[in-house]
Amino acid sequence: MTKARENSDYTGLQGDLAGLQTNITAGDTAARAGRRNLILNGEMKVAQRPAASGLNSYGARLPVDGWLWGSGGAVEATATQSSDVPTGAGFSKSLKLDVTTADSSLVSGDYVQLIQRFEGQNLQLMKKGTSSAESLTLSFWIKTSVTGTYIARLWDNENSSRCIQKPYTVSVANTWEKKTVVFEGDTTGAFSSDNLQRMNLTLWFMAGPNYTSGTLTTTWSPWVAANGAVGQVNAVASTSNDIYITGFQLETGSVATDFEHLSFGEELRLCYRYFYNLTYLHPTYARFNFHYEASAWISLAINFPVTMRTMATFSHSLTNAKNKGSSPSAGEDKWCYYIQNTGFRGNAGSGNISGLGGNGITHGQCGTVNHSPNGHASHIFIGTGCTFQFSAEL
Amino acid sequence: MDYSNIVSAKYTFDNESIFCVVGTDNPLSVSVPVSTDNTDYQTLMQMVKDGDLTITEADV
Repeated sequence: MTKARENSDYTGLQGDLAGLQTNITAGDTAARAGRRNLILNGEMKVAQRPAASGLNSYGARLPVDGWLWGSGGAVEATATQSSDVPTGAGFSKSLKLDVTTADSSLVSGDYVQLIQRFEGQNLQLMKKGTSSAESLTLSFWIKTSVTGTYIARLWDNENSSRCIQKPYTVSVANTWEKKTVVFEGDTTGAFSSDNLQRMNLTLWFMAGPNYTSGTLTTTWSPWVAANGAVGQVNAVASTSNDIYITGFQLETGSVATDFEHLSFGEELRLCYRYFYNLTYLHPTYARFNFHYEASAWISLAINFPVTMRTMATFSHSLTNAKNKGSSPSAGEDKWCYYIQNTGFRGNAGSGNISGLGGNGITHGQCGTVNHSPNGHASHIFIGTGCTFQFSAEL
Repeated sequence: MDYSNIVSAKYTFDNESIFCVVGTDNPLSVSVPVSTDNTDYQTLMQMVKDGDLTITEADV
């Protein structure tokens, strides 16, 4: 081989290596990027709770997982999961807020908000409270009857209620529009890396004079009510007003990237960390084995699909009167026992099923009940109309 | 949890949780763990502090 050929091969090899390094770097960066979206259930496709009507106070859980309603004043609304979505954006569900009692005469502390809360350990990438604090970019789709200025806010729940507000504009009524707002980073007030609520995202839909009489604060600052929602239009002034919203993404940086779609299963598992409705997605009833402890005791063990955020609250609607004696129909608020080789049976036992409690919830057990099915029953069938759920919400 | 419709609240025998009956027409049985990280427990404690709720001691 000539020296010239050797040099040529070497140069070519260097070029190949450089190209390979470029590919590796790009791939490595993409791999490191990982999940971008801090929002839970931003596509509104998981809805473990039924429609919520009569919403008129702070903190009500909405049918779509991860989202809360907050309001003060005369307004009331119904929240449902909707199939009205922006065309061609890749979404299948939205959250619909239907005003059922309007509030057109705003006084003092009237307000309407849509809220999502975040754990501190999920916010560390914001680098809040350091000189390297990252901006956050919020993007979402909205369709509402009322055009004008709306306010989005980040609220620091840990450091003296610091917050930052940003306005956005709905330009065309009853038309899906994509909105983007950028929240600059905050060099003050770090978040603890734990499982507690350290920040929330708030979208205002109405704000009374208490929140609109000052000048909108658009940089991170301690909360001043008068500067909190200046310019916010009243989107709940008429019962004909509806608000649809979906496609939420909150990510570091100053650019709204394409929406990060997750599979339904992935999203559902993320939601289970905070709320687990055992009858969700069952067509007629959920069936569970239980352990027959003694003549008057049964023990029902529930394994959570994922570790929940903290010890969960257990709620159920089972009462003796709701025992059906046969398998519940779809959507029925009934339950019954089943005995192998014998079949369904009624509520002939002793005790009270409503006493089913939540001892030892840490271990995923919903505990024991002082109730005998009058025989060695092995299964309990819980209709999909029953409440039977665990909550570890923020 | 509909805190405004709590009919009764009582600590369980081992003080691991607070057993509440919520509502009357279609009551819910709700077990709130005694855990400061649980937001239902936080709210119940605030209600007790504000004088809006009395939690009965556990049976012994």
